[in-house]
Amino acid sequence: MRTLSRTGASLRDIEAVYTRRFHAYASVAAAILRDREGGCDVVQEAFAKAVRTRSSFRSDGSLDAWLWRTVVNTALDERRSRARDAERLPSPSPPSSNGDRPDSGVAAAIARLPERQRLVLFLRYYADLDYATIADTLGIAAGTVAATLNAAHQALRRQLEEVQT
Amino acid sequence: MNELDAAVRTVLDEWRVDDTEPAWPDVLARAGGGPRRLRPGRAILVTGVLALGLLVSIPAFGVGGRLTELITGARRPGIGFHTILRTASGDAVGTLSLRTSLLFVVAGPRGHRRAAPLGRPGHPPIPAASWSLALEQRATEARLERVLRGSKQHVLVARLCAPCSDTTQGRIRLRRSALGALFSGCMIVTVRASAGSAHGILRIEPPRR
Repeated sequence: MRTLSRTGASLRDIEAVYTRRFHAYASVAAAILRDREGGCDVVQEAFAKAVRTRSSFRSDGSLDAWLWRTVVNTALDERRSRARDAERLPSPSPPSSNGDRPDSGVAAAIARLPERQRLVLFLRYYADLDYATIADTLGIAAGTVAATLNAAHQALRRQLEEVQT
Repeated sequence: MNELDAAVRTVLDEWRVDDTEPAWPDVLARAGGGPRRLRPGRAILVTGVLALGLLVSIPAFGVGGRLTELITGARRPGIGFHTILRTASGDAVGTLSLRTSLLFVVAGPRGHRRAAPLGRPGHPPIPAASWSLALEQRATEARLERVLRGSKQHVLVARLCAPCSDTTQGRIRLRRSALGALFSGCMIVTVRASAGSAHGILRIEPPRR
């Protein structure tokens, strides 16, 4: 965990984290949006926001978690914005069924997970973040992360068993 | 890794991004101009400080000299007093100048501003005053004395120097009674030398324009 001992984050620190972990950020954002290109765009926007507001970074926290929080919140905002736009547009044709794919049930099950469980799953899987950073990113207690991850696995297992039966 | 984990990984790999290169310049461009860009407020502040620095430092403007004069020169804040020291026969043998370090200004009872050298009631300040004595010849002693009201008795306020060279400078602390005498024209400067003594009454020096 990277912790700075001063107020505000330096541009160099932010750039270093961005370069080192770009793909993890983009993967999490893409999973939230279910759109790979959109995920990359969200990361660019999120880091631009972080550069603009870097003086507000509290030195007593983790820079990683602060940047993850910025990326996750930007992705969630983008998803909500897209949902609002979709409501205003005419209804699209129903998506084609891909039930013949072996993982389609899992994808649907993941999509049905509560948002917090889904985010914990993404942060753990794509970024391999430790529980403390995940907790800091999502603003929850560190002890809650393990329980949330466990609940996500149980929910997925239950849903898949229901599909198979 | 169990079957569920493997299936989850397979699904999540669909959204994994690993073929796009990071683009930091694009981040900076979106942030609005890159790392060296100053925010508007800071830019105005920096410009103002630079302009003020130029104004003060370039002699052609004459501002720096005036500021220095205001702080250290004859026109610095404070009240000046001056007297010419004369012998009993009327001959001028020297001068004494005295300047209080501060001019206390407080709001008067009706909102009028007035000079209050004695400070607020209950909190009388003891301001310092710098003095400068210039004599035609050395003296054995120079002292400040105040004249008691209703009598001709002199009370010693401060011994400025003993003996005194032809130019002497110093600082003294003036108590409330001394300030009262100073402002009411009851502060006498007495200089004693082997040839005799000389006196002068300290009076407010009119401000220079």
